[in-house]
Amino acid sequence: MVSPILVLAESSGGKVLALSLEALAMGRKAARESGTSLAVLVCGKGVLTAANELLCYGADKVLAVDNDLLADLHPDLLCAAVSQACDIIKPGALFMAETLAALDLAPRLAARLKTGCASDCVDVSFSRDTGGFIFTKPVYSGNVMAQFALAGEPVVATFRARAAEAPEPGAMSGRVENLDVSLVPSLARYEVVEKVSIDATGGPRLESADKIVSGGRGMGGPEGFAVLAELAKALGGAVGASRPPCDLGWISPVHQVGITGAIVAPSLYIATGISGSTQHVAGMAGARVIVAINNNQDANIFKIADFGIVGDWEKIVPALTRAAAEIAG
Amino acid sequence: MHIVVCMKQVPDPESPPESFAIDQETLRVEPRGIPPVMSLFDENALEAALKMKDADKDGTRITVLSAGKRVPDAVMLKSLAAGADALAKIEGPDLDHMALNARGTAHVLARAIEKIGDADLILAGRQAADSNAGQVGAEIAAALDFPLITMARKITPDSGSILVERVLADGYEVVKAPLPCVVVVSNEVGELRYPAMKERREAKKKPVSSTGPGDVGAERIPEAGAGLKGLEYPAARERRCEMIPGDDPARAAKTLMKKLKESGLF
Ligand SMILES: Cc1cc2nc3c(=O)[nH]c(=O)nc-3n(C[C@H](O)[C@H](O)[C@H](O)COP(=O)(O)OP(=O)(O)OC[C@H]3O[C@@H](n4cnc5c(N)ncnc54)[C@H](O)[C@@H]3O)c2cc1C
Repeated sequence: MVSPILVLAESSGGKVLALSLEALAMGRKAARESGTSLAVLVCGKGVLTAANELLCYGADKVLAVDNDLLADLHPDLLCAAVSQACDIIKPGALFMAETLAALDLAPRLAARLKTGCASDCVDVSFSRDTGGFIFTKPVYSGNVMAQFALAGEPVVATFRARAAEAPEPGAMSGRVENLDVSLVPSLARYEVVEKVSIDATGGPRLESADKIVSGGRGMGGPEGFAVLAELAKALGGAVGASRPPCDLGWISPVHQVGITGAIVAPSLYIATGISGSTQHVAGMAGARVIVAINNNQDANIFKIADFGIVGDWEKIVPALTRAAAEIAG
Repeated sequence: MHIVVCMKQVPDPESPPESFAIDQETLRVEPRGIPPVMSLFDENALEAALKMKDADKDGTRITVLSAGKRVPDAVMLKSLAAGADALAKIEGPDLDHMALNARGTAHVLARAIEKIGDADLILAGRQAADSNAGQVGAEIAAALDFPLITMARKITPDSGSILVERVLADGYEVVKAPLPCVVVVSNEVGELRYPAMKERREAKKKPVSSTGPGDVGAERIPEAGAGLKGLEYPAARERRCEMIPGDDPARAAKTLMKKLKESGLF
């Protein structure tokens, strides 16, 4: 029998991240295809609520490492904890969602275990020929899809948001198994001095917003984003951005949509002053309805939009805000 | 402080999709008519180093380190013009940057860093613009057994150690690490500064060295953790766009809202 698949789930405020549930769906698929079992692991301090929630998703095992030293999820300690958990569970593959934490953990762990790692995957399938998994991920700015076979056990893979649909919770079954790992503070090779939280500029969070109004370099400056925020407000949506406005400091990077920002799939996405680069489009192509506003009629963004308005946003956006307010009011 | 910035050359990632042609026989992507450039996040890493140098001109030295089958000076000159002090290239037929795996690359770079000898801080970009893998920094840290700090948005020296701001989902944290260590840099650091004409000219006089992997003790390149099995073009994503004339904004806005309503959006 093939070694089990282990999904590492992350939680925030006692709730399992939706992205982790998507990774769990990938784990389920891989387990089904390869005829192996599926285990889910949560690590942290006070993660039992999240672990219990995971009992509803049909994994064969739900495991928890609950340790005071993981309170801050220091990357060195987290890596040690997951690596020890792998020693106990002996999984063939470790899956996680491509989150900021996974961006650190996946390569760190693979380097430590000397196994293969594929980040930002969009699919996994089992190959009967080789008896191993094949991971698919975008390379060259998303212009090419590459398939990789990974060496060693466990192989480590992270999955891009929206690559799989999060499963619906079912009835709770089984109970959470606690894993004992031994951690000591000295495993942390650097010290965390201070944590600073940055408030996103109000409104709903990008990932969960049903409507998103995004601006690009064409907005010309922070003032443009103030105008966009009014449209977002009238629509009850969130503000997004392409990368240049974030790099130029017009808006906080938490608003970035694209392969190095958030991957979103709202019911409505309005792209304003955005040219439609593959790196941006990969982050929003899953939206149900896409509207593009651009003063260049040949902009690529129109190729992937459902509705397009050719014109200057300075004129179009305020008019849209008024029209949206009429509909809402 | 001696800072080594690891720099990869990649086919310009902003090129149009058709520039990335797949050769199924060799299982490689052949860039068509696009020049190699420095990978974007590696440029951010260099910018982080230059900001440290701004604060301590005399006490900071920056070496740009790049491995590849051939690393053209023309691509890397920009790093010297922007303010790096030296360029160290590791070149050899086995170091094809289009095919080299993260573990292999990291092994060669780690041996080169050992050879350099006095590096205090190793910087790498968060992920390469071609492979998008994000593993080399972590692999170098493992190979050298140095502490690893990722997702840096700011680095400041602090008497014998460094302070690094790391990007988190809801803000950032400040961490303090001993030297030597490896720091993986994100784009929040800021774009690489644009060198002036004069700096470009002077860059040509800066020291450039080229050695083979054997010269740094990396004659055997470790097996890849990831083996490439297939390449294909992504499914086309085009939608049929209904254009709404924009010359009368109020009218365009009303029309769009009506259409969105018909799509069941409100
Ligand atoms: C490794 C890597 C990762 C990346 N990750 C991301 C990512 O996650 N997200 C992302 O977005 N990008 C990302 N990029 C950058 C990406 O390649 C593009 O550079 C970027 O998306 C372009 O942003 P833009 O469309 O806003 O700007 P531009 O391409 O400059 O387009 C601006 C548009 O605004 C229009 N415009 C100008 N003025 C007006 C006006 N008054 N009214 C209406 N329209 C106007 C112009 O016609 C143009 O189409 C990444 C790049 C790399 C190499």
